[in-house]
Amino acid sequence: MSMDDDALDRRLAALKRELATHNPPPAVDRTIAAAIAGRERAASPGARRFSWIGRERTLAWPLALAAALGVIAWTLRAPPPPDESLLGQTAAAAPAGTDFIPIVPVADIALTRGAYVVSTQMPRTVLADFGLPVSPVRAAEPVASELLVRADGTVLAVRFLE
Amino acid sequence: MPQHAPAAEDASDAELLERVRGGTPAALRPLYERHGGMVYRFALLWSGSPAIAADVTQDVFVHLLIHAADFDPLRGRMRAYLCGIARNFVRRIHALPAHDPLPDDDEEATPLAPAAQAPLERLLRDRELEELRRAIGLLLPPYREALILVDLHECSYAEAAAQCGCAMGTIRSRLSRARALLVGLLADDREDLPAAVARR
Repeated sequence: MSMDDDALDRRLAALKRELATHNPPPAVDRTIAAAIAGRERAASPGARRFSWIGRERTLAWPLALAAALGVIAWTLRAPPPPDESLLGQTAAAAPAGTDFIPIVPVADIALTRGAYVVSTQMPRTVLADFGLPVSPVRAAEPVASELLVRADGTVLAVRFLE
Repeated sequence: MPQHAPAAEDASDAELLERVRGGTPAALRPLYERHGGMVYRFALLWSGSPAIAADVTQDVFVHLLIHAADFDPLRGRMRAYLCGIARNFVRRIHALPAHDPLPDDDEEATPLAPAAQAPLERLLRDRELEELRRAIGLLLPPYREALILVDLHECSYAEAAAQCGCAMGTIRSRLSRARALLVGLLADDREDLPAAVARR
C-alpha cells in the first residue's frame, strides 16, 4: 500500500467518525412511528382489512372517498395549478396545521408532476392512524384536511388543518 | 409473541423482521434504532443532502414495514440489505437507473460527475473532511457507491456486489478506481475541488 493509500485510509476513518454524529432528524422518527401505528391499527382485531401502507396501491376508505369527492369538486371549480415543487409550494400557502404527511414513498412524490391540493374533511379518528392525538370530546366531529392528489387520483400526502 | 422469544433489544435483526412480518409492526422500532443512523449516513454521503437523506431513511423503513418478507438472511446482513434499499431510493430521486451501463474496465470513460451535479452543501466543520466528502460526491455513482458501501459502511465485496447488481470483481475494480481518483483529487490540497475536476 502506498503512502497515498495510507493517508486516504486515515481520512476515510476520520470521516466515518465524524459522520457517526449525524443522525436522522426527529421528523423521520415521527413518520416511522405513525407508519407503525397505522400498521398496528390495520392489523388489530376488528379492524377493517385494509391498511394505509400495507398495500401500496390501496388506501383506506376515508382517504379514497374524500379524494374522489375532492377531485370532482376541484375539477368543477378551478383549473390545475402551475407545475412547481409540490410539497414546498402547498406548505407555504397553506394555513397552520400539520406538515404534509407522505402516504407513498417521498421519492414517488418528488417524481410527480401535475398534482392537486384538495381540501376536504375526514373522520377525526383518522388522526389516530397517523399517531396524532384524538380528543374523545370531539371524536364525532370531522377534521379539516388537505390531500395532495396525483392526476390519476392517487393520494400522495395528507395534512390536517387543526 | 411466544413466551420464550427474546426481548427486542436481544433479538437478532432477522428475528425482529420476522416479528414485523408476523404481525408485530412495533418490532420495526428497534430495527430503526439500530440501523436508522447508518441508513441516514449512507444516503447523506451518497446524495450530499440532509433533506434527501431524511426522506430516503423514512422510505427505507416504511418499505421494510411493507416488504418484511423480502429479506433473506442467507444473502447477507441486514445493514447491507438496508444500504441496498437506500441506494435504490437515492437513485430514484436522482432519476438514475438501478444498474449502471458503465463498462467495468473503461479507462476512457470520465469517472467524475459534473461539478454542477455534485453535492456542494457544506455538512462538516472540519475542512479536510468536508473536502473528502465533496470529493466522494464528485465520483460517478458506481464508483461512489462502491467506496461508500465497502470503505465507509463495512460491507463485504459480496454484499456490495449483491446490492449493486454486479460481480464481485467489478466492485473491486470500481473501489480501486474510486480510491485512485480520490487520492488524485485530494492531492490538490488547498485548491477548489471543482477547479481540480475541471482540469482532469
